Amino acid sequence: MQPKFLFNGTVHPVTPVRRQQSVQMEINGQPVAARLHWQDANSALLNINGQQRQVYVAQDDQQLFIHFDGRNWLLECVDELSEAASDGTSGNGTVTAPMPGVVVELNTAIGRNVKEGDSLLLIESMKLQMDIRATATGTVESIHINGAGDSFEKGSVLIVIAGEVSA
Amino acid sequence: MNNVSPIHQGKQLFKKVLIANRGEIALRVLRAMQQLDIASVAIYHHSDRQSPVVQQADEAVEIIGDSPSAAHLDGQQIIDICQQLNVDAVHPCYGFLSENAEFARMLEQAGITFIGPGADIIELMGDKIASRDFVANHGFPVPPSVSLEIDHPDFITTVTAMGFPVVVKASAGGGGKGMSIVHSEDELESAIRIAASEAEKYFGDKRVYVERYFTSARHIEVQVLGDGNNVIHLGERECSIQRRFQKIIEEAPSPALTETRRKDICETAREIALSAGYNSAGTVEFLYTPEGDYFFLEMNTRIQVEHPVTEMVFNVDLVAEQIHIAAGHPLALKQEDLSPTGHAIECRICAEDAFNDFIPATGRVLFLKEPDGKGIRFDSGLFQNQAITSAFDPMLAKLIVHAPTRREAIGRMQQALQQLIILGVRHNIDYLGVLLGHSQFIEGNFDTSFIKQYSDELTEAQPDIQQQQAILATALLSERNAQLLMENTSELHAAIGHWRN
Repeated sequence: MQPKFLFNGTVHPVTPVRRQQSVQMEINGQPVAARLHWQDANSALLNINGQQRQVYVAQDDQQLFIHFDGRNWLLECVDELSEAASDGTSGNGTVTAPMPGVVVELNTAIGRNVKEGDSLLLIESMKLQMDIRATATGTVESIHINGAGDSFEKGSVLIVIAGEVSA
Repeated sequence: MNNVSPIHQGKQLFKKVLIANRGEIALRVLRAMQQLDIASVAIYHHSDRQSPVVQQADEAVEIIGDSPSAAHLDGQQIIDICQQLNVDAVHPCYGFLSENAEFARMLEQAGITFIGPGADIIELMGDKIASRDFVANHGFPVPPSVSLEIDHPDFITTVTAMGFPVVVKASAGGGGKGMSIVHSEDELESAIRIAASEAEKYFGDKRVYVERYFTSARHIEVQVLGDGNNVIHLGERECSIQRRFQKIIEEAPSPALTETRRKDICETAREIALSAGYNSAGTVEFLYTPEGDYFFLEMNTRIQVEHPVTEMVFNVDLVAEQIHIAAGHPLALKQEDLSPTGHAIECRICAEDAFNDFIPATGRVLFLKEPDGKGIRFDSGLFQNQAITSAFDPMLAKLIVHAPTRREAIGRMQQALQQLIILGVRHNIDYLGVLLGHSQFIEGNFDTSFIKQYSDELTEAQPDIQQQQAILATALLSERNAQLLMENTSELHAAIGHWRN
């Protein structure tokens, strides 16, 4: 298994090579020696290339939240299986939630013909309401929410539109 | 805060006060209760049961509802709790029931004091349509608007005649809810539908109205305190840095006003509040145009999110003043004794992907480290392991700084932002740092469109190669699976074959 991190839009392989007092590793092919001295569960001193710096780290599942140099950095641990899976492009008739929230109004039904850009439902998250529009022209094939008041996570499939068969 | 009015000898202001809110403001109000030696009751939805205000209040009662917001909007349930626990006053804070005249009236009928203005004044000044008409009738300037009912047959033509852009607002609204800018006639209907739906949901009142929108104006507001006979002002707050009509940075004083203009606008606010017989802490909001004209926008009949900047420059505890007034005491502060010192800035820390169109974020507070130091105040109700969900407002906390000059306040805020560490949810702390460093912000040259106007420049700085190495090395050395793998591999170099497949 090769540890990889999605950081700043790019997947970076980070390979441990040898552990002495610090860990020798390769970052994007560059040799780096580094060591963490933990102060508590989330705070550590990072020794890297002869320098010592304060870092704060917290992990939530695949996400790593790092505070370093007065700024916040979010990394995702790349799982090789999911990396392969995400290469397959999903159909553009799949309408997913851009943010977690609650359905305010459902304005469509299964079997209804919709045009790309038609409003399908009104959602709300933390004070912000937004229209969710059809991503394709076609027929509403399935609805994955139960109407007003139903909540969903970011990225959940809300509605699937079966696209028109192109000529 | 030194200017707290003295506790009246022998008689407590109130015996027991219920705090009808949650989060940072509930905790802020609890502090005032503790300083005034008043017993406190916190109410909470199940999801907030571990929050500090619930732990620290003298008593805490769970409230029930279909959603956490619905529970906090259930006035009857709150009044029942007051009666069971012999509560003699309710502090509504901001949002929820804070500007609900019916709730204030129900409390009054139950013999419980509402810590805010009288129900009639809320009805008059808290309603955007009624307050605009009232203010205009008293000869103060208001922006052009359409006052027809939205289903009136001439509505669309009247709006079109006034000219676009216009802004649609909920009459009972506040905090940017139920508001949108409309640039053309064909967007008007959908904007009104959304605004009415939000207004109905948040305020139980679907009335909306349409006002001329000024594309280049500042939002300047004036803090007032009234006791029903007298009104004083505590200067202005500059609140033009907004996204989605929600303020994210506020400061006092405004860098836009000359001394003469400041006097005019503060005096106008004072007179508006006085003509309404205002009897609590309140805020009069104005639009301020580049030409130096100002128009009354609305009055907020509550303590506001951004009240700390005023407290810092005037050294006054506004919540304590509000409680004194509610207990029937005349204003203890005199206008001539009030003078501001230095400059204060507040940043609202929000759970959102600020560099990506401010999309709300959810997560969990996995690590929290608060900044401290001279001139730094952190108002927060955050706690370790708190779930950040979409059930409430995205504001997590407020960071406030005070310094002798505006430049120094900006510098102090930038340092404090770097020292504030919240891990486990995306937030806008880095974005606020970038915004504070923008040359036009530093110069004080901005209006309410600042964030949109400079969106190309308000971007995330890219990490340099050293930073990138440090971050990725930290990731490898802390990530759980990578650590397990390394611990279970005695001779790393022997394992390289496995690592590389």
